[in-house]
Amino acid sequence: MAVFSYLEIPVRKAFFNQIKRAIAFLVCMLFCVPLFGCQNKVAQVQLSQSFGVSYVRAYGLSLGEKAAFLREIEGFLTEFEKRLGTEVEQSDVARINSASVGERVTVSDLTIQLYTLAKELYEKTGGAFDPAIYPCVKLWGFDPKNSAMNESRAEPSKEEIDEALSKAGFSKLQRDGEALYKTAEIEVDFGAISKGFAADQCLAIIQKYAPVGAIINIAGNTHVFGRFPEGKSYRPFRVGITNPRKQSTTGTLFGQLSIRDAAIVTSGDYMRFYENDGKRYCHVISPFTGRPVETGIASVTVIAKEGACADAVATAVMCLGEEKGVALLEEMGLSAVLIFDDLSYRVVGTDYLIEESVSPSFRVR
Amino acid sequence: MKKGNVKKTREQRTFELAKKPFRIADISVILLVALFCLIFILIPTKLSAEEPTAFVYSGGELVYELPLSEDCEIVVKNGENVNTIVIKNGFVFVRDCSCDDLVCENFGKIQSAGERIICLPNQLVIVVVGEGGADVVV
Repeated sequence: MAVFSYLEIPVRKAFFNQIKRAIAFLVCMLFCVPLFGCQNKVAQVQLSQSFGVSYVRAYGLSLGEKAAFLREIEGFLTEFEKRLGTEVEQSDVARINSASVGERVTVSDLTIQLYTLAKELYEKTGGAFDPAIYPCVKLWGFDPKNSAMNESRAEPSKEEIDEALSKAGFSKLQRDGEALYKTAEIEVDFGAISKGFAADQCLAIIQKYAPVGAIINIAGNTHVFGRFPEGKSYRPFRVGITNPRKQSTTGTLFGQLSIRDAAIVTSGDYMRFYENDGKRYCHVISPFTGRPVETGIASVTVIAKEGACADAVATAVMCLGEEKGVALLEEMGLSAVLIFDDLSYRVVGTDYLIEESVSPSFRVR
Repeated sequence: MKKGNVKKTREQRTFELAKKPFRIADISVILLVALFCLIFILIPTKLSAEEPTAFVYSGGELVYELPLSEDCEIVVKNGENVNTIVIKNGFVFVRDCSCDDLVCENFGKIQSAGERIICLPNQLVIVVVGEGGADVVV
């Protein structure tokens, strides 16, 4: 204390009192730290409307990681929409659709990746998943531009359907290095795979930040990663399956899956559909008939490692029907929950379904 | 001249302020900040950490508070009316009921906050409060 020896005692006392105040102030500030900590446990980003209701949620990230993660996800999805939006001017898909037969259209790496995946799944599903069914989708009024797609309307004529169906067949789109070209007049739309694919890409971004857990939901195409923090412990995610027949049964959920590290995608006839003369016409168009599917399946929930695969296979099973659909799922080693028109359900592969969660209105097939 | 009217110099005032480590004003500010923080820290934790619980009312009175995390089976009697309530794997449901219509059994299994099972003949109401339900819906 030699340094204070020449100071008068009261001045020294005043100096220490100031220090005491500063310490009290710091203690107060320390109290505030948990306030900020709580808010940063979940990082969430709401995505653009073009993808439908979508969000990405990650648990256990720091403030800096949260900001970086949000920036990266938003940047990726903007780029994704610009390249792959079917109705976006000058997107890769729009340029392919407006190109003449044989014309080489140079596209981005992202589009090539998606094309390669789609081609593989088109072949694996025996054409049940066909991105080139778009002319039929437009004919039936289920393209995203049609805001009145749920309104009752008359069926198109057989000639119109046959003409639109003649343009289907994804094998008519071929790759030449960095370019894609058509071998016949077709129009493509990656809507039945792109959301699952986008979810896969978002997952790859999130994994770099190593959160405790994450939920990626791109218009219902879901990825769950890691574990869900509940209180001081962790548990697998609980993924609810929408009840496809809410009007005639109780509850908004059919049931729940207990699951971790998987992509879960549902394709069903209950979101985009219209009724005419008591008959339901849904947005899933069969590449085999050119008509809305009538296989008795109300919804298919596919569980896979990759979202793109789950997305495409869910659509394919809707088109194939129960027997062929289940055979395809078994061949590809995927798990699924099929819900039928008559309020019965069937589990294929690993049973992730929480038995107690199934709505009492449904029974095992 | 009275002592109280003597105007103190700036140095004197500073010196007097510095003499005590804390004045009443300091202490009140510290206490206010601490209280404010405690409110914000404790309340959300209590609400968000609240585990799903089934509140069982019989004849209008709360008779049981059953956490859905613990499997159990209880019998609720209201006069001659008897209901068997089961909690299994995070769900609550009515297994046996002495009433005629069996509406309560047909409610099925519930787990989400706000869901309820009602048995009018036996005056039984089960309500789930707290967290529960799906994390995401596909």
